[in-house]
Amino acid sequence: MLFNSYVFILAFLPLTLLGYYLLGRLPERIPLNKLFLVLASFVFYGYNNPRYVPIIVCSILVNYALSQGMLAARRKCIRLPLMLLGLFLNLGVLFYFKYHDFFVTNVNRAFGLTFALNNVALPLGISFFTFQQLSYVIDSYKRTVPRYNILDYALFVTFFPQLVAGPIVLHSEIVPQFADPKNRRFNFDNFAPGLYAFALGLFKKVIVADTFGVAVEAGFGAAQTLNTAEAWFVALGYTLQLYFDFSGYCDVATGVALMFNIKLPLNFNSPYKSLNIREFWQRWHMTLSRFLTNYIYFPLGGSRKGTVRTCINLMIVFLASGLWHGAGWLFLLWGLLHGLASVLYRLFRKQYDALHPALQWLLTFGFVVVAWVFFRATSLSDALAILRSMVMMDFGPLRSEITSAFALPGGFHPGYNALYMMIWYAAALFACLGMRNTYEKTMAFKPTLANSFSTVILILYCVLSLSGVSVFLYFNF
Amino acid sequence: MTRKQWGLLTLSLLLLTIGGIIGTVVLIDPFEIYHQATAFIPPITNGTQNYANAGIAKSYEYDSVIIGSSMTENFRPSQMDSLLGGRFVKLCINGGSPYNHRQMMELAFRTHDVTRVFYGLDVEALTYFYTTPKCEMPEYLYDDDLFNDTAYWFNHSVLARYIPQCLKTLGQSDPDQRDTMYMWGDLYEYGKEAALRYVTITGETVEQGDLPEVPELSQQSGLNVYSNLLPFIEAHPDTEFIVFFPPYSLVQWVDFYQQGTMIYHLEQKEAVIRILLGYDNVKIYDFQAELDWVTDLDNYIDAWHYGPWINDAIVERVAAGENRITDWAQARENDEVICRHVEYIEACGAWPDDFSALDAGE
Repeated sequence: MLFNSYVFILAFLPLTLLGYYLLGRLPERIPLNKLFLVLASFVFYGYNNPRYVPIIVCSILVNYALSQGMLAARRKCIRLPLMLLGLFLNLGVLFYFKYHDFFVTNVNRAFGLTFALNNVALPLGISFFTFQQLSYVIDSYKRTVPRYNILDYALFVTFFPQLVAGPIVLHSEIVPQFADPKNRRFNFDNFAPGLYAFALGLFKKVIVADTFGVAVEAGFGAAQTLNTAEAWFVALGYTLQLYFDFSGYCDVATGVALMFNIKLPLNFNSPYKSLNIREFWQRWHMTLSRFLTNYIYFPLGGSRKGTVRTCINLMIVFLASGLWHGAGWLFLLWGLLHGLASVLYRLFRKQYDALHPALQWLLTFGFVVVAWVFFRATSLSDALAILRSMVMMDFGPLRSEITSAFALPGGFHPGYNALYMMIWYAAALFACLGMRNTYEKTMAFKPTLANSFSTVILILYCVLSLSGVSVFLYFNF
Repeated sequence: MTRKQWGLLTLSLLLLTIGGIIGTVVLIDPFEIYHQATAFIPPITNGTQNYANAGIAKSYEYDSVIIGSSMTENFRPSQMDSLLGGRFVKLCINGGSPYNHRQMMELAFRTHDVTRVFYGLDVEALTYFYTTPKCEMPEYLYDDDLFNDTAYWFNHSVLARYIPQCLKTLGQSDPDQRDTMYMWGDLYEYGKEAALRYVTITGETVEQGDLPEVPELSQQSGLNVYSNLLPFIEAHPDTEFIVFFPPYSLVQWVDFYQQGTMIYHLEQKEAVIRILLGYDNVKIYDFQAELDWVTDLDNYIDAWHYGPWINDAIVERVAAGENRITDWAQARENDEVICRHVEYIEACGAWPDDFSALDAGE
């Protein structure tokens, strides 16, 4: 189920809140509210494709059993094989669904073979719930986690706001909050800022990101023929789309979780305000960075084993990050670029930090924009064509397929669309660079008439934008 | 203001506005999904027909339906009522595929006791994919699921464009709308120039064959007939299905010929006729070799589309039982007439204003 759907906004969310808090009135020893929330989360997960519900159920049961085994065993020689089995199973499932076809395609191409592809659709959120459970499995091996009952564990994995697109939460962040008796009761102190964050996030996703998305789609579709201005607008447009889309989604998740009295960790902290690449990764998809740091970078030795090893470790982490984002060479290349940038920053940090902050920002933001081109392009030649266009100084008119994404309703002259487009870009950039982010606004939430009205208007605006009449006049038979 | 007051105020405002929006759309109901409009003229146009048809099919009183493409849009239901009996409505989809027409029939049969279907069958449309609509439909209006009507209730076009349009005509009515809806007959120029605008007669001999470049398309005809037409004919033996082949101008057959698909289309047509002849509740009418019509380009706005007077004439012929096919050999004869005329036109190398030399030879 999508956050930006009628069924979620008008039915699923209100009914789940109602059911959860009504059942929360029962004595604490009867945790029907949690059971209800787990079941509701399965409905959320399987709404569009119920076939994948058994996968997540099996994943939860197996990981829980392995963790319980490790927590019960004092001897390392028992825990180690269980942990390795957990790693193997989790990564194996992830490999089967996400990387098998990529791997086989490349093996076939390299050796002229014809191994069959799976052609299976990726189960929703598999990268997220696999990583989330891996953290618990590894921590169980280290015996640094408490024992949870199966319901608490299932809730930690399935809690629907964070199930399909993060943030990647740790058990220690979620389970104690659900265990807290005062969180069983509906609380306006959390609900109000939650609703506010929900409205802001929905607006970022449905209105801002999806508008840029139309222009970006048209631009990347014509990657080989863009002029310089178009190439910059398309690359910058994707930079904005991705941020508003992903952070908007996380804002909705944060807001909805807050309605259930659960505080999710911050995932986007105005990343485009960063002055260097290290800071960028401390602000962008922060819970993924945290996971990769804790479970790859540190175990590899982090920065404690000399400069060369540090650089290698950084490269490994960023290549893993690239691969986590998708099974494709361009994702790997994107990871490689960020790895290289991080290594360079590590090596020349003193010189870099001495630059004027404005120049530091420009270098960081420029690099991020260029790297996103590889992330979004469907082929290397498209990505290179866009980058080539960006430096060719071949300025021409902006094609209407790109500018029309920003057209105002009401049939104004299409010549104005380029102007609206500039306003959209300027406003979106200002929102990224000059305004507080949703998390900051939510934390500093003050109940006023103005933000009550703006919450209502934003939610209605989003709901009304989900459906229109597409007038058609085909008239050829 | 406390957070509790803020929450209560915001939730109340949300509930009020959402309730207000749903109430407004359901009450005014511009596309007549819940009730036929009586207080204003509903926005039924060629551009909105895939929305409007859902309301017509659900809320209008009728026992007979007109199904087909733009070839059927100029029919006048009132004329059909008086000549054929019953009460007709148009459920035409311009540019529609047999799958689109199936969607219309499904809704009509589900909501009404349909005694007659007047079906315009386009041979080329038989090659459209049989499981997908050629024209995208708002499916949520065509099912009985009230919950997915949210896409209608919260539709920004309905709220911002169509409800204001309805309110502008408040208190007015248009008793002729059942006839005039979707009619495009007086919007275009007729004549030879218009009919030949997109087709150049080359005068060259073209080998006729299958649709070789897209083999899966050539398999669609049978699939379309078996999936999108026959199930209705078989499930409703008491309903009369009047299936007619529209009289395109001969220019269109020249175009098919020059694309190498004329024989393919004619064979498909004959195959369909042979299948339909096996059903007692189907009457087939073929107007494609009606030479008085198809050789007179003053009847056409392009190679395909004929003026409303031809629609009227079709109804008259059907009412009189003329042009009916009861044996597939008749269809074959008609097709041979088409072939001979196309060959003659190609031999002339240009549109012959006079076919008397050919007719004299017959």
